[in-house]
Amino acid sequence: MSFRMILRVFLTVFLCLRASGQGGGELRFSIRNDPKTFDPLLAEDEASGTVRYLTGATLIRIDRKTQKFAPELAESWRILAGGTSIVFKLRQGILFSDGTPFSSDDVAYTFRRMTDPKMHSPVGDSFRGGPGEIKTLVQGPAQVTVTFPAAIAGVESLFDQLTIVSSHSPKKELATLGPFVLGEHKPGSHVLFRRNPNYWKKDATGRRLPYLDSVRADIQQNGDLELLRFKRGEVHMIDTLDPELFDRLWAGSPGETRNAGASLESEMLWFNQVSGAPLPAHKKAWFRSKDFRRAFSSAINRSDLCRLAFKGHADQAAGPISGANRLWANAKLAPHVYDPKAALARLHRDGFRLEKGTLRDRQGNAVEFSLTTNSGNKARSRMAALVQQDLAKIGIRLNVVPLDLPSLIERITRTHDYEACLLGLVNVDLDPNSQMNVWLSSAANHPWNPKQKTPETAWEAEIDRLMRAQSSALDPKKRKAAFDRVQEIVWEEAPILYLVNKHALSAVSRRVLNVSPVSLWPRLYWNPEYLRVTNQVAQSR
Amino acid sequence: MTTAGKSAGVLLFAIVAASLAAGYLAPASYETQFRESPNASPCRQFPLGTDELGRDRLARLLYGSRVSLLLAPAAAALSVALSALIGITAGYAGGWLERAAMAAADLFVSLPWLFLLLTVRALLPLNVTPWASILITFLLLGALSWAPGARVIRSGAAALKHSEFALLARASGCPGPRLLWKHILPNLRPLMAAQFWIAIPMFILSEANLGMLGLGIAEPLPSWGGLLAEIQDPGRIAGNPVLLAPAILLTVFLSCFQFVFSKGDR
Amino acid sequence: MSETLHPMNGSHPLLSVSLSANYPNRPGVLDNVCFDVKSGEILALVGQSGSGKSTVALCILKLLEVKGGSSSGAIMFQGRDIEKATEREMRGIRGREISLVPQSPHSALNPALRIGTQLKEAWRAHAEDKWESGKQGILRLLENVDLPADEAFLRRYPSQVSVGQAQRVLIAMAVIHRPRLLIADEPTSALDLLTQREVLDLFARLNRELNMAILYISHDLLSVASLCHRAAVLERGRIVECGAAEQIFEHPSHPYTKRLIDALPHLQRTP
Ligand SMILES: Nc1ncnc2c1ncn2[C@@H]1O[C@H](COP(=O)(O)OP(=O)(O)OP(=O)(O)O)[C@@H](O)[C@H]1O
Ligand SMILES: [Mg+2]
Repeated sequence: MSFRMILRVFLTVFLCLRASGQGGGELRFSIRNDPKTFDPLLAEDEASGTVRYLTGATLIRIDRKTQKFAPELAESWRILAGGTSIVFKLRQGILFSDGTPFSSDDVAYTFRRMTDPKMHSPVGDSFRGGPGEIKTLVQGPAQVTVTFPAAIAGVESLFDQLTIVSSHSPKKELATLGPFVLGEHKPGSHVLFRRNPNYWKKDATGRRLPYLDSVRADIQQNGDLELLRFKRGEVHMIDTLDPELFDRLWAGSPGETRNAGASLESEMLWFNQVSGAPLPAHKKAWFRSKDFRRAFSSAINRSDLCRLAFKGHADQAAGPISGANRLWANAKLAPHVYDPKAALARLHRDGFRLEKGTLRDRQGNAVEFSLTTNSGNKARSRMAALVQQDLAKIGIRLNVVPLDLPSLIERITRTHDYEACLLGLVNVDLDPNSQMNVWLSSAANHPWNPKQKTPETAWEAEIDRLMRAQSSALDPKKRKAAFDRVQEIVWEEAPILYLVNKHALSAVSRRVLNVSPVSLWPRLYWNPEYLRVTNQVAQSR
Repeated sequence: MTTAGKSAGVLLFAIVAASLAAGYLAPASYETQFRESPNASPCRQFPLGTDELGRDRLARLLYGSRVSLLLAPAAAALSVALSALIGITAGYAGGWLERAAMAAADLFVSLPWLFLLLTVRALLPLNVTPWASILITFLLLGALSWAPGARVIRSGAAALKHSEFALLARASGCPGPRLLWKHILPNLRPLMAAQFWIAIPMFILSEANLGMLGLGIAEPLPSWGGLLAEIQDPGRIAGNPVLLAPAILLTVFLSCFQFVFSKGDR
Repeated sequence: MSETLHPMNGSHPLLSVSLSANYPNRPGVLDNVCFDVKSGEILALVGQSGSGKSTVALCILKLLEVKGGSSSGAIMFQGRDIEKATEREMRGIRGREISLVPQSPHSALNPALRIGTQLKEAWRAHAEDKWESGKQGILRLLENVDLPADEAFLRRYPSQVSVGQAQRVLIAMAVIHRPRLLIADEPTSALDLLTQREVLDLFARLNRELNMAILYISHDLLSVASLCHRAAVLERGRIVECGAAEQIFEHPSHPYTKRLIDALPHLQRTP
């Protein structure tokens, strides 16, 4: 072996070592299931969403930290003609991962593909809304105008889901513009992402992003095992932890737990108000009485729910929109105050009376009914037991019935054979437009009384009106005012009792740098291009 | 009786007495939530500490014993009675009746139980009191678990049917049903006792699993199954060995029970 | 041949048998077996092991089906054809009109039941009145068959009595309802000679005192000779000889009967 050869080998090794020291290494975390699709326009499940988020780029992103719209592939945009069209000025000199250049043609192609009825694209559905065609007008390589048949309020938020695909790359939708490209997928085991060498973003020092060489998402459904692997260092972060697991980890290594405060998840309880439900008339009368619902709500000790059911990792909920949604939550609302005496007084006014520890209505019926919830959720069953005790204090007897989720859904949505229901809800989308199918009285997902032909109460009619108003108004202030009013009505009428907002609990290894957990999805890797994994343990702060 | 047998008897009596006297022995009701002291360690007020909602663990263990002690043996007895009825009839009658009963037993063993129990839950009214719910649960357990026992008893009955004494009983004019009941059944007692012993712990544990389907015991009533479910999480035992109390009690109870009573079956 | 099988006798026979029987895997177990039992008579049915004697007994009680066999022919009992009787009618006959003392005393007693319970069961099959009254009768009966007639004995399990005692229990059980016909299937085969003697005396006495006809099945020619009025010889499912007991033993006409008698060690020695 010649000296030069030895030198070359030495140099190569040195360079490799240097590269690995400089590079970001491999980040590992778990996802629950295999992605159902790698086509960003078809993604619907969470795992496919993860693939889309790591590999794709959009024209506009919702900055997960500030919850504001941020330019991405579009340098800037303007909304024209009363909200029916939007003009994008695109960034220049960007390449797809396979080296083909990005231009306005790709945006036009993405729109054509997404709105193709044969595609059944979920993103397409959210854009399509009403009848008529979405038109794109290419004005040179760097400008494109999209025209909608009718004005869409808050249209920017829809673009957060729209990943731009290449119009002419031979690799089709596997040619991407995001920080990573799909490496390999072993079903049931993992999905591997590699660094996109052509990614266009650079950091402040001018270095090309992303820092990481690769990302590995292991498929793991069991939370206990996930925590075990985290402790062994086999995965670097866990984006959602139970309060129990969080506390267990905290007891061992508090520096690796992260609590990002209230999340978008609400725990809520509602009564069956379906007029045709197979319930006795007197029970329907209770559930349709605002006083009954409000009294029920103020008999619940929300602070105990947070403290005991969630080990302190939850906040009392005031209304339908968690405070984590900074733009749209109505900040004036406060949780219904816990006051059993006031609750009883209110029930008295409504004709109920407490007799030997049992609450009775005007006709003398003892107030006893079932509270259904899904089985297998420990925090929720603890909540049910707490609510049961709280209500016993004002003479209401609750029978807690845990059911498996499918039969619970069947009862809520089809047979309407239930009395009260305790469930959780996640609002992934911040914009109230995404909640039309919950609040409109005609909607199939209107929880307490779905598919009404005409609103059965004045306040539901008012909610309908306000929801429609916010969806057609273009002025953000007007939209906010209308949606604030919806939240006030819901607070006042209490068709759904909001109980708590769970905290966003997660775990991050000390080896991962630049993680900044937020309450929005994806909590931990919303800024994947900036994440790094070092071999040394970072100093705990 | 040996000393061991005697002490087992005393222990058994103590457990049963303690669970029956739960109302006097337990420092608090099983449902009272001392919300200011959740997850308390054992102390004077709470000898076994409290659970996550601040409920006294000792009270829950005692009341839970009462529920499980009464109902698991009752359900086991029901299951054995059904096995015996079906097994003996099939074994004695033979022919198509036997084939039908054994086909039914095969079917029962291979049925998708989860699915079936869900259907059962769907058919039940929602408003059942906790006591009714636990009663239904054990009734179901008893009523649905006859098949394996029935197979064993059937083969026993088929063998006895050809015995000399059965022939003699018929020769002295004994009618069929009486023959089964008075002559064949007593010979199957050891088989049935074995079935009974296997069933009790099985039922106590199944009850906890049924809770997942909304069929088990309902809040706030405690049961051994529910208490045992708490220790499925191994991370918690390390911090709080008191959680093992129900498991220990169950083991002690079953061994004593078997020790004392199986002596009688020669 | 049929002449010899139906000896002319003035009175109407109690039982008149003319039978064929099969087991599923063994056809022709009984091939046109014909004989009569007169009222108050002891008829011996002798033959080698496997010749079909127990099968005859089962046929008469119409219990062959229990063993899987089937029979055809006629069994006239007190002028009625048992072959055509319903199961319900047969239940009324078994144990009350026709009783059986089975072959092996120990396996014929139910190991899980006390002696008293088994006697009570046999009594209960044809009696509706209070057990107390029946019990007195049964205690007297036990005395009659030389068994300890006390509560303690009634409380014993079959494993706690001797074979001879068990045999007597079975005899007592068979005669509770004073049947017209007793079928005794080799009742002495398990007993020692002295006990055999006692049991034979017991049968003779029952026959005398209760005027009970007995179909005495045996391969023990000695006991047959001392007890029975008449005898029928069965060979592989056929009756080969039938007549008065002394006549058959002194002048056997069929070669099979001769062989049976020659095989007896005692008779050879007696001059
Ligand atoms: N259940 C049965 N199935 C088939 N064959 C049988 C059955 N029982 C008896 N046999 C046969 O029928 C024949 C007659 O049997 P049986 O019991 O009547 O004889 P036996 O004369 O009583 O004999 P032993 O003196 O040994 O009691 C025998 O060859 C026997 O093998
Ligand atoms: Mg025989």
